[in-house]
Amino acid sequence: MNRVWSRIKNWLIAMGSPPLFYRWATSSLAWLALLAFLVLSSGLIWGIGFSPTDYKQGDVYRIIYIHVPSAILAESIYILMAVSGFISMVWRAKIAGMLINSAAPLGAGFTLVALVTGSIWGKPTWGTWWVWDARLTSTLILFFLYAAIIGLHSSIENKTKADRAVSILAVLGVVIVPIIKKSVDWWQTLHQPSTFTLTSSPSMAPEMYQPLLVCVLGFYCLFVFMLSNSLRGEIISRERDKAWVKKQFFKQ
Amino acid sequence: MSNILKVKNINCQRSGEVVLQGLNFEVEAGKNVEIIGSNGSGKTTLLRLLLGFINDYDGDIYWNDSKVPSKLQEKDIHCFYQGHQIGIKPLLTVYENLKFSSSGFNSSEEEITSVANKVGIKTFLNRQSANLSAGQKRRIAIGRWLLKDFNLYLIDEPFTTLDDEGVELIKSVVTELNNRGASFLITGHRPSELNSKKIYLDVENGR
Amino acid sequence: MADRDNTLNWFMLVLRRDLTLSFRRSATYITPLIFFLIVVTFFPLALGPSQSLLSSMASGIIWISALLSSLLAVEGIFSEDYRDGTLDQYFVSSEPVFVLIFAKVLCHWLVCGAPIILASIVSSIFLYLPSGALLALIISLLLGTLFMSLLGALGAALSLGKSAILSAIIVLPFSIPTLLMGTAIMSAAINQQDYSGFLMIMGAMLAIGIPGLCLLTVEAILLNYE
Repeated sequence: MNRVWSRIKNWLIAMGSPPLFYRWATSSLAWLALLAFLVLSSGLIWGIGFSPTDYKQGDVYRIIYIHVPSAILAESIYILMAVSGFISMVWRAKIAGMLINSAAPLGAGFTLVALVTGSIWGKPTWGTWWVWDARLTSTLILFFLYAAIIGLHSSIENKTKADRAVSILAVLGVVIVPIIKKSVDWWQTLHQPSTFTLTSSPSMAPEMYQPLLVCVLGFYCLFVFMLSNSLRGEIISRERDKAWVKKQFFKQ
Repeated sequence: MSNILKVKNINCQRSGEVVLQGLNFEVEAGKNVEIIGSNGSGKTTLLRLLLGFINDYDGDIYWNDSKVPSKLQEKDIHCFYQGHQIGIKPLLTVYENLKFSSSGFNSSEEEITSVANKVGIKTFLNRQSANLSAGQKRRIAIGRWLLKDFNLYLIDEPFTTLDDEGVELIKSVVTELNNRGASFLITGHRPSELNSKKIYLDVENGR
Repeated sequence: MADRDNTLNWFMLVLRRDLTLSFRRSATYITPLIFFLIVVTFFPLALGPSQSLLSSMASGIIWISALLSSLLAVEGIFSEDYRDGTLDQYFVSSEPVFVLIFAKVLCHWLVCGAPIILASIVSSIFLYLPSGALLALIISLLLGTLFMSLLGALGAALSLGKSAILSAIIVLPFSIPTLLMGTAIMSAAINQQDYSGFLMIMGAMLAIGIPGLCLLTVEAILLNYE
């Protein structure tokens, strides 16, 4: 067990070096894409095509196979950014800072997907395009937090400095996010005695949530692929003056 | 003679360009050192590096013969610093600009008045600094040097915008503080008439 | 201990200097107040002057206006000191800089918070705030504007030299708990319920926020020095 741990640790530390990550990403992109495609498509086809019809909501509920994974990913990516920000602040790892910049638009994208699919789900079920329930409201606020990070990073010309600034913001954000969620939950109960949550269906038949789990996994794989791709591009553009980049491109 | 400050083999790069290379010098107690160079030769970088604003360098800095760590928060150098921007607030009077400064806030009214007298701005003591000329504002800055005793004064380009009288004033103030055991590390474009060791920086180097 | 005394001296230096400067420039404390009143006025203009409507929305409108005014007011807290070299002196002082930052924030809160509270009292009349809620309004705004000043200072440090609107989108999401807490206090007061629990929560947020946010603000300022 210890050996596995130390091997993982060594791999992580190695990945902290931009040139090594670049090489790993370049060689891995193909299989990452394939993996994402396989898992995601099987999950989606299974869920949307083959899972049983819900007796209450009919077929429209199938949108949860996109909505729920997006929402889960939206939150996970923020946590990843915060951890990365912490690493960047404490250990000054450049790649950790670059990761935030690469992950933020992806996170914002997933949040947006979650919001839109949530909205589409709500229309036939509750009759309106939007409803201020606790989950949707928190997701909207999460979107604003992503926007703040993207906005701040783009406004600072010196990108190393920009990385450090968004690290601070991400770390602060991850502390605030649970507080925001708790307070929005409580705000809901304050204003609407009967809480309804758009997204949690506690009584879900196994035939329904098995494909859901696969979809979640598929979305994660998709994210890893997209992040690796984006981070790879970010590394090249940031380090373009460094010797290793020049060697890389003039070698072939 | 003991060294207040010693700098050994400093190499510093900013944005990929070498700014300081192999810089070595010492500042002895009661003696002055002048860093002279044109714009962009690294004078301000050197000062900011000594103070801890720039952490990205190689080499060692010794304060009172003990080595100083390179992170800003761990540095404990008790010196007086005056940068390019002298921080004279236009809305404050001359008296207030002296009193609300890093050296003046524990000084009594008499001490501040006598310092103002020494640097020749006593008549403006209660005038808002916005109404003063650049040279007069510089005199306020010089007054701040006298309000509290430090061992080392790091001053970035003190002679700019000063007329001959102002230059004489600096010379007399520096001499007085030297006699009290303080040292000055100043920067400038041209060598001054101060009694000091001159170090020239070309766009790349140290002496 | 001599060191603590010196830190206290430095704290008082920054506080006194900033207070003196703020009072010399009347725009510092008048503009937040006027801005607040203008924003408040827009609501009846946009929604109609119905007393029942405004009365039901009063605490929300006042809180939102207070947040926005606080935020805009604190925008320039570091810009002058950064430009004229005074900010450098905090770092050279060998004192813990976050204490000095708190001195600046405290001064700002004292100077701008009071006009905002005043404007909110006036607004409570404009918006027919139910009686009995006024005390809750003042107390909750006192705590809330302090928290906003702290957050706003962090936003100002992160976006030093950039636009105010960027600082706003950074800071506003983080002020949501304060907003929710403050309006909850108001609702409780209007319904004549006890709101001391909420006050304690806000107090706890401040207790953590004051050192935490000031420390992060120092980090953010240092970014500009690299």
